[in-house]
Amino acid sequence: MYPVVSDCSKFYLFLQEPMKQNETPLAELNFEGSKYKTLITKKFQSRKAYIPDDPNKINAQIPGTILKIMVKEGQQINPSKCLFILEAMKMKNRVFASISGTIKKIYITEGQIVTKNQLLLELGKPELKPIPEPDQTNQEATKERKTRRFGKRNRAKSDQ
Amino acid sequence: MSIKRKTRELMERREQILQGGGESAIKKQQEMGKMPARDRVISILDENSFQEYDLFAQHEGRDFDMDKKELPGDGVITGTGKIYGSPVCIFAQDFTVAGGSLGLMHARKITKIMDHALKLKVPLIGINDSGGARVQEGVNSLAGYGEIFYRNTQASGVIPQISVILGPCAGGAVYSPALTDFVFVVDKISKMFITGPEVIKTVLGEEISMEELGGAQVHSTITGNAHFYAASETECFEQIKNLISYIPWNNNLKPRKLRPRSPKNAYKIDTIVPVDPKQPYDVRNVIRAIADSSEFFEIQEQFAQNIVIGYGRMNGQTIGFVANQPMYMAGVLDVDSSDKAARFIRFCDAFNIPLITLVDLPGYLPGVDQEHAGVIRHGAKVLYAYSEATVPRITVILRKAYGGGYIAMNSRHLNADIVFAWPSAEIAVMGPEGAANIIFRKEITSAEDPEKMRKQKIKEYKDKFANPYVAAAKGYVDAVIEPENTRDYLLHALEVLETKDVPRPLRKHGCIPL
Repeated sequence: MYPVVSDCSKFYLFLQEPMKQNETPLAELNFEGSKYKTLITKKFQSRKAYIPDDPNKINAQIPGTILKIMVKEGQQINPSKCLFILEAMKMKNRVFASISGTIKKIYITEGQIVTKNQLLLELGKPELKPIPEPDQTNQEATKERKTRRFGKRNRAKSDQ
Repeated sequence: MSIKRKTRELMERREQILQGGGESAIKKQQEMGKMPARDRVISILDENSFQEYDLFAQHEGRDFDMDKKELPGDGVITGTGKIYGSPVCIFAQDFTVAGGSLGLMHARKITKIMDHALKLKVPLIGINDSGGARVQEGVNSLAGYGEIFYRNTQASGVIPQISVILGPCAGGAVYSPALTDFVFVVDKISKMFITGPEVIKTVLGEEISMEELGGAQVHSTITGNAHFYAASETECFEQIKNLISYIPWNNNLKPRKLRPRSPKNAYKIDTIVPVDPKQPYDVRNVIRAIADSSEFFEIQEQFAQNIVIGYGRMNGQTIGFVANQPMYMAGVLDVDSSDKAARFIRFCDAFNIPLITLVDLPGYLPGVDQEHAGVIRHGAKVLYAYSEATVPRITVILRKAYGGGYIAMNSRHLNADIVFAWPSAEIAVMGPEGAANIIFRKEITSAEDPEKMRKQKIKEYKDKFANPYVAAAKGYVDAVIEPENTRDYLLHALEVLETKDVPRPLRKHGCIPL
C-alpha cells in the first residue's frame, strides 16, 4: 500500500508485488549444521516420517479381499497359526503373525475389501504361558511348507 | 486398361485410406484437442518431406468377425521425412482406426520402420496414441509389442529414439516409450499407466482420474517418465524439432554445428551468483551466461528440480550441461536427481556430446526416506555415468563442493578432463559448520562460552579451508579462474579436448547399478 499525494486529494495506490518465479517462499534447509536458503520440492515436502514397524499390528501388505478369518478376538496365537486369508492378485494369501500373542482386536469382516497398509488386526501382549505347541520339528516343517506354498507372511517390513 | 486408369485407381484407393477412421471419428479426436495422426506427422516434418510406407497394409485379424472389417493402414502411419534437413524415421498411431489398437500388421509396420531407422542410422520418432493391444488378435498383438521392445533396446545408444505421447498409452504399450531416450507429453492429452483407473477401482477400491493417475503433469513432475511437457500439440512439435537440432543422427556422428554466437549481455555471470554459499540463485542463468545466444534447452524441467540438465551450444557445438540448482533443495543430490543426471550423462556420452558440469552442492541429501529409497544405489549411478563417459568432460566449481557430492559431480578423481574453480569455490569434506563441530568438539565443549568458541572455530576453518586453493595445491583443480571469463576458458578447453581419444576396456557392457 503506497500513499500517493495528488493535486489536492490524498489516495492510496495498491501495488501488487511482481509475481515471483515460484510462489512458495524460500525455506531453510539445514544440512550438516549449515542453513541454506532454498525452495523445497513437492516430493520432499510430502515425504512421510519414518514409523518403526510394530509386530503387534497386522496391516495389509497388498490390497485385496478378506476371504476367511480363522481367529477370534481374545484367542491366543503363535506364528504358525493362520490368521486370515487375503485374496489379492488372484492368489489366496494366508497371513501369519510374526510373533506369539493374543488377538486384541479384529478390524475386518469376511468379504471386506482392504487397501494397502490398512490395519486389519491387532495383537495384545502374549500371555506368560504359550499354548502348547505340538511337535517342534514337525511344526517347523509345516510352517516352512506353508510359507513355501502360500508365500505371504506378516514379517517386519521395512519397505513401507 | 491404360496406365492412366491404373493410376486413377491408385489415387482412389489412396484417397480412401487417407481418410483414416472416417470423418466422425476424426471430429471426435479434434474435440479433444487432438490432431489427426497424419497431420501430426506432417506438422513435425519439413514441408513436403514425408514419404509414407505401407499405406495399403491390411490387418491380420481372422477371428471374431474381424476379417469383415477394413482398418485403413491398420491404424498406424509410418514413413521417413526430414526435420530442419535432418533425416528421421517416424511412425504415428491413428486412434481413429480401431482405437489405434496394436495388432500383428500394425506392429509389423512399426518394426519395419524401426529396422529401417537402424539401417539408415537416423533418429526414430514414435507418436503413441493407442487403446492398447487389439484383443481380437490375441497373442499376436503381444508378440508385436515384444518385437518393438526388442528393437527399442537394440537401437538404444545407436540412434536417438523419441517417443511422443499424444493420447492414451496404457498397459504393456508404455514400455516402448520407457525404453526410448526422450518422452514428450502434452497437457490433458497424454495418459500413461500400466493399469487404468477402472481396474484400480474394481481391484483395489481406489478411485482416481486418468489425469491424476498418469497425466502429463504426473509424468513430468512426479515419476520423471516424461522429459518434455507442452501445453499444446503445436508447442510439443516445436520442442521435438528443437531437440532434433541439438542431437546427432547416430552414435558415429557429432551433432550439427551452427554458427557461433555470443551470449546475450543481459546475463552477467559475476552478478548472478551470490558469494555467500547459503544464498540461492538460478543456475540456469549461469548456463545462459556462457552458452551461445544465451539459449538453454532444458530437459525434465519439473522433475527433481535440484539438478538441471539440458543442451546449449558453445561455439556452435552442442554441449550437455549438468548443474546443481541451489534454488531448489540447496542443489543436493538425491535419488531422483541422481537418476536424472546419470541418464542424461549416458545419453551425451553415447552420442558424442561434450559435458560441462557446474558444481554448487552441499552433498547427498540426508534422511530416512532417502536412505530407504536407496540413495546409495541411485547415487552410485552418477559416479558410474561420469566415470564411464569418454566424451570431453569439463567441470566448473562455482561455490560449494562438499563431500561425496563433490566427488560425484565430475571431479578430477573420476577422471574429468579439466576442472576449473571460481575463487568463490569451497572444496571440502563438509560445510564449515559441520566440520568445525567435529574437529574442534573438545575445544568447543570445554570452552567457557561454547557458542562463541564455535563461531570462532567455524571462522578459523572457513579462512583456512573454504577456498579452492587447498584442492588446487594438490592438482585436483586445474585452474582457478575469474568468473567473468568462464566462457573463454570453456571454449579454449573444448578446443583442446577436440582430439580426446580414450581407449575403452574390452567388455560386453558394464554393469551399471540400476
